[in-house]
Amino acid sequence: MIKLIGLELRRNKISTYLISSIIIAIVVLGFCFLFGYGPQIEASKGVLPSDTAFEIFMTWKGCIPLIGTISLGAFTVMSAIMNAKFTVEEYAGKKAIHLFSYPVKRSRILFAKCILVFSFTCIAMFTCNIAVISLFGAISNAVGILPETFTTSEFLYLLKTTAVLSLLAASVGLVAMRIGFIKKSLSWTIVSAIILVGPCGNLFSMFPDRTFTIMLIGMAILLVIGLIVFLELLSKVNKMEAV
Amino acid sequence: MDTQIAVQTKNLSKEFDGKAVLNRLEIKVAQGEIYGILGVNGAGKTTLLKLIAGLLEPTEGGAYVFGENSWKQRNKVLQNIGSLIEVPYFYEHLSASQNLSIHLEYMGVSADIDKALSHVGLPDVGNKPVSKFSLGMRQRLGIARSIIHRPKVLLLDEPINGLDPVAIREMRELFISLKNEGMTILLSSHILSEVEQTVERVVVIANGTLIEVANMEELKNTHQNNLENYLIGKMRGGKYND
Repeated sequence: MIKLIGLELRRNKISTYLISSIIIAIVVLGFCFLFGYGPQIEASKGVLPSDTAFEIFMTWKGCIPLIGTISLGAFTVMSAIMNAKFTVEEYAGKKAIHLFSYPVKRSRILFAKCILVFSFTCIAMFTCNIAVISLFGAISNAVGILPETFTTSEFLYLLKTTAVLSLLAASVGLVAMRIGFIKKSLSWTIVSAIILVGPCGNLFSMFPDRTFTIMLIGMAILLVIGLIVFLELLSKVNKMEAV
Repeated sequence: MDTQIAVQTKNLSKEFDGKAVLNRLEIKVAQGEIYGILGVNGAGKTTLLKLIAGLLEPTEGGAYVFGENSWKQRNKVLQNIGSLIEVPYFYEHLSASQNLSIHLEYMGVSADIDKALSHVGLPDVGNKPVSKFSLGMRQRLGIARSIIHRPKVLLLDEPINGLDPVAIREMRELFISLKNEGMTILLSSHILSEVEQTVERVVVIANGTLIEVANMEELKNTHQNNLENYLIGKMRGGKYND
């Protein structure tokens, strides 16, 4: 399996996705400053910082899920693109002839592809989100962007929130891949991922006191669905024809 | 008969959406033979090769490579097969050598990549990205990939597509030398002159049905002056007017 994953890495341009992850991290950092300074700018215009919307931006408990949700959206789309490129397109049309010509169990090749994309999404999102918010936390502590201090407690909350969101992004990518597989279409995969991840932000903000629980439930549901469709696809690919 | 049967189809049929593309085809290809598959576009040549390569599931009957069922024992069969079916697909951003190296890893064997590239007339382009290759170079590289792991059976679907006359001659010589080394070659084409010069036996297919299996030398002797007309007639479904 390690060899198959290694071959996937060799034949696909993984550097493209590494660069994309870095760009996402920079953009998310930009959003951090936007959200951090937003309340200060509004307060200078006389808007009271006690408004509910401001609370999200002024506490780490509000900011971490908010920034995490932006990361979630970006990494889910990246995961969907990876799944489409690594898997959906490889099983479409004439490319399937090439892929099916190897004396390797087809399900093992598919497994290697999915594991690679799933792991890459989780690791990339986890690393970027932790790095970006920690950096923002350190800067905030130094120059006082957020009124609250970014402490170990906030960092631990960031760790568990990011872990859950990373798994959620990878799971949505997996489910979107299965939907895209129906039409063997890159655009179907990406649009499915956007539709699936779209309501997440709304759901998280609907229950501000239980954001983490909602994230956990959402992740568990999508992970189970992802696993089911993945297993179903593993069995399907063995019977696929290269028409 | 002492010669081992390398490829055999038994009652092989294939339908797509209820439409028959191959109809109860029965062929036997001996080991070390160059076997031609002739037919007009849409006759079922590519479908036959795909069925032999285990890429399609037969609707009825089966294809066998050294006695192993191509669909049911696919992975075992694929170890013995090299194929160039339809347009060869490559990883465009990688070089020719890298493409072949990945192929060898998947096949689980090692081989001399430079030698394989030289064999097909691509000695100095190993490090060039495939995206920069011309149609003819891609075809040559596709042939290199199909033979580099030394398969026992080589399936070639219109292998001279995109090749210039010099390359066509080189490839013909290559196929004959591979045959002399014991490789069995199934070559589909609609170019009669190519089939005439390369193959030992030929099967003519029309509308998915076997029209005739013949020894090429015997055909040449029997139809000295009108072999082309004869074969075209057969490819049209057997309506031959001498």
